Amino acid sequence: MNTENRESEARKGLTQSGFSPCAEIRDLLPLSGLGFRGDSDRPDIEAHLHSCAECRSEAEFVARLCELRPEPPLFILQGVLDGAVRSDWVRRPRWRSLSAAAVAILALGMGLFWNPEPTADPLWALALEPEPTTWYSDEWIIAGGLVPQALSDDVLRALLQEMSQ
Amino acid sequence: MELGDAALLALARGGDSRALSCLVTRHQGVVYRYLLSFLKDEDQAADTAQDTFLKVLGRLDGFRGDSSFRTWLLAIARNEALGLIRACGRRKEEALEQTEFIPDDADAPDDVTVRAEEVRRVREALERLPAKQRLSVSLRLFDELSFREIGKIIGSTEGAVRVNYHYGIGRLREWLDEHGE
Repeated sequence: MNTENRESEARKGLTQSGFSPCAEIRDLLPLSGLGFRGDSDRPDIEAHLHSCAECRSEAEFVARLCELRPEPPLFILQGVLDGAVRSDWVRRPRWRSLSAAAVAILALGMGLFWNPEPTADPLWALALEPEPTTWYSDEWIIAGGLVPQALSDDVLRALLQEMSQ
Repeated sequence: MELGDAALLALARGGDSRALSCLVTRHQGVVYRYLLSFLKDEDQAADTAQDTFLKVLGRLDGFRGDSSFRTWLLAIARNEALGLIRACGRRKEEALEQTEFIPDDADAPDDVTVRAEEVRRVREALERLPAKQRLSVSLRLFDELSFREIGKIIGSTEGAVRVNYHYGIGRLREWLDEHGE
């Protein structure tokens, strides 16, 4: 019977495990999850510890030792995280590399298939319409708009002289 | 809800620093105490624990889940410790049996240092135990590993670990009672 099974067995009832109650209890004393460190909710364990001075003494000793366990210094975690950053592990994880490749492929696909001339939107239709080369009124003079290509150089020169006066 | 090691490992493989932080926080105690049992030096144990986690970081893809993450982690820690011992030319294991227990002769410590002093005395008593007893006691007592998992880690049968644990506890009681623990 392996340890996990024996521990499980002990949770159900010590007498079923085939080991003596003392041996079972002493095996399990370090397991805080079973509540053997002073405030057990197991009446059979509590009863045994009350009646067996040896087991009670060991339970007290183990509980005391457990309180005195050496704790790791705080710098271990920070050192690991710093080391991870230095090794580029955090900044360049593998999934990001894959994502970058996926984005590049997607962008390439969009470049191949994307139509930059939306035709359904009337605003786009207006914007993409060729600019007029001929004005049909005098508004261009007021607005300072495009010089109509239809006017001759002589006419244009005369107009410029007139505007400069 | 607390994530298990498998979920944290999956996140850590993707570069999640919070998952890495959780894994280190969860396991740094057992790694540190395990290394302390090996190296018997707090500074070296802490430095080697740090090196162990950094080594694990580079090998996350190599963990196949055949054993628990903790067992795998402690196997790497053990290799790191053995490498350090070899590099330093130290023979800690042989020297262990001859280590003399030195009781504390200092004046009664104040409240601030009482616990630290007790921890030191327990650690010194632990260091007197043979390696397998020391590791069995430390991993069982402080980190609540099953006898079977300890057996996998230290290369013993479950029954042998159980015997080593009880022998170790008995000797610790004897020594610490003798010196006023």
